Amino acid sequence: MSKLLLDIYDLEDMNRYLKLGINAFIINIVEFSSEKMSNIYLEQVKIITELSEDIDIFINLDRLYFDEDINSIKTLLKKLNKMKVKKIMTCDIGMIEIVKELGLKFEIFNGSSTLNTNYQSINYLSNYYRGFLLSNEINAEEINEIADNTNTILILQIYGKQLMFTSKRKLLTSYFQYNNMEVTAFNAQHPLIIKDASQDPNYSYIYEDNNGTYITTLNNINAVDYFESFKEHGINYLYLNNLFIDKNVYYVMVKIYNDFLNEYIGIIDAQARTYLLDGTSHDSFLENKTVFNLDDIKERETLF
Amino acid sequence: MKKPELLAPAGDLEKLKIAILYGADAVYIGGKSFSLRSAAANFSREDIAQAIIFAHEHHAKVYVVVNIIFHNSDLVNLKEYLEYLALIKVDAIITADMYVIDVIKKEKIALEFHVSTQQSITNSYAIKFYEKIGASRVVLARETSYEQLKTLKENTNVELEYFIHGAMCVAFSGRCMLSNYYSMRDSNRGGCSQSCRWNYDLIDSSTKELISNEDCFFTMSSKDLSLARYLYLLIALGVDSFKIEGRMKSIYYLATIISSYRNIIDEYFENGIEEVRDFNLNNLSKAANRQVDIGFIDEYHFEQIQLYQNRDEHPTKEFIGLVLASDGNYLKIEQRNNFKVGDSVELFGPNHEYYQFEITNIFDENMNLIMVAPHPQQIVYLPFKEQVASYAMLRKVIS
Repeated sequence: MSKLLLDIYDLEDMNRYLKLGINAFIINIVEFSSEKMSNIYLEQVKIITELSEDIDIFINLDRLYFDEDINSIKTLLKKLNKMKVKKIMTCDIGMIEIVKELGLKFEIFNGSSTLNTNYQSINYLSNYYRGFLLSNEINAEEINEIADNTNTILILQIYGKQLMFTSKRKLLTSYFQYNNMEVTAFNAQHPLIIKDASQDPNYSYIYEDNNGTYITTLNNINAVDYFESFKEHGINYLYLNNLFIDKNVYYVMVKIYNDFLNEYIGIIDAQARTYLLDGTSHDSFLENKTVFNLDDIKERETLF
Repeated sequence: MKKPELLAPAGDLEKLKIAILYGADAVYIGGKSFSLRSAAANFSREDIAQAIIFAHEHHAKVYVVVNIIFHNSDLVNLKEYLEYLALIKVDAIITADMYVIDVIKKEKIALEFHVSTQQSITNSYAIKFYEKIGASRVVLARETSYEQLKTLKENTNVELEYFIHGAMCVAFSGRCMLSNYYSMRDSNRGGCSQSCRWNYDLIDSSTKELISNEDCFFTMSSKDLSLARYLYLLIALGVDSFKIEGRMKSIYYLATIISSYRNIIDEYFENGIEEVRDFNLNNLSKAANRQVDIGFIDEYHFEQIQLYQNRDEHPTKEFIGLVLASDGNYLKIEQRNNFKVGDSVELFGPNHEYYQFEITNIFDENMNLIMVAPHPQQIVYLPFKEQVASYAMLRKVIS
């Protein structure tokens, strides 16, 4: 049975979605997760976990850590354990060893959005992780094949901006310094846009936090046409990312998907569909395979 | 103190031979399958076997990269490929995907494995994980600083490999999908279109106004890495392997860079020289493709490691010929770039040969005097009274 999984940036939002019957949330904690728009501090996590044991809370620890970060991570993990957090999502494989050393029993989820691309590797890593966020660059056929050939918990992003790039470098700060420019904000609260110089340019969001630079898609992935198939293949969590999305738009989007998931509506009707596919959304790589061999690259380039 | 391994790239068999002859202790190569850098010539199975014979005869090691991030469709034939690599006695493979490790362990294939930088390994707990599952070495993330490296060395037992020279990924390796989204080319399977080096406009998301300077596009392009000046600090730390990037690079680039680092390492161990000589630093600059910097090793100086306005470094020397043979009277040269009588040249070779001279005569294959060698791969002879090793190279001194 599939569930919707939502990003939550403040507690008020969470209550709104609990009322819809949604009970799976990714919590980004100020200072410990890569900066998004989160207003949730570590101390508030306890309020969330005390609400109900039936709520799936994933604490998002989505950075690569260096040894100087490890002590604060250990302290954090001990506090999360006391707060009865059960699930953490991480991009850093070192977290497995840290949790083991501390003797804690977290369910660890692999949150890498670029490395979970085939069922065999996932099966191997299932010895260490409780579940996996599937990578963004695989197509629907590959996703369903992974679901059919694994016996673990799978999370798939079906809506919102997709993360494309993570760098330790402060690329915007560097650029502005180099040009002696004063630009006041380029963080997750106020991202900038990059546009390449091609005839059919690509646009993306770019922003910085204390740990580096991030680039996301400008437009939202919307997997409405694949939703039923992902349900059928048993993807456990269908994730709707709300980064840079208006709260009300996100709410409506979640509600439509929730109604569809719970079969309050049998099919996505025309009006809902128009809302879901707002003219700018895209199906990312769900339909199209990327290429990498020289012959394939040449063949593709002759098509355009 | 342990002498570190000098690890060099090779895109084909000729490059592998050059790399080893010029002083690499080990070479990493890619097969036709399962390897990033799909645009490199790469090695057929027969080439890999030949590479191993040549390398082992010269007391060097060969590591084969099996470093794509696999998709479901890539999963076939891997076991058989790994068994072949074990059979021909590859010294290790470098991998980024757990499936490869799983196959090696389950099938009990006698292959050492190193974990690729594509996994962006930045802390000692991640290293411990890979050590426990059997890795004999990890390749550290390029973002690791000297101080961090020191801690990692103190807290782990597995061999550590560290990049010292070459192009830099601007993102954490394996964490960049720009090429996928912008070009539909899969960066984690060798199709990277280097979108980070494109020019971009920077736009305010609220006002939609152009922010970037019209005279200087926004770009994420990175300067190349060159840690020659830090090498002795790294040797003192006990780093096991110094890695040079660049399976796509030319034989001239490889010969120049490898011989320079070979000198630096050997001079430290053999003569106790503790400051890198200008001669070696100057030689490195003769093959520079871009401006170089020190990456993340020192304090983070983010502005300095970026490359703006497409500023490229132009090599001060030009590769003009490869020495095929030498008999103490003549050098037999295969031309690689146009040269003529009167040109000032440097000759350098795999046995530390180094000469400077002016070309006074050029003879063609029939020993007719000619003034210019204009044709690619043209065979010519230059009078030269010293014997030098095959694969020595001539470069023009450009004033």
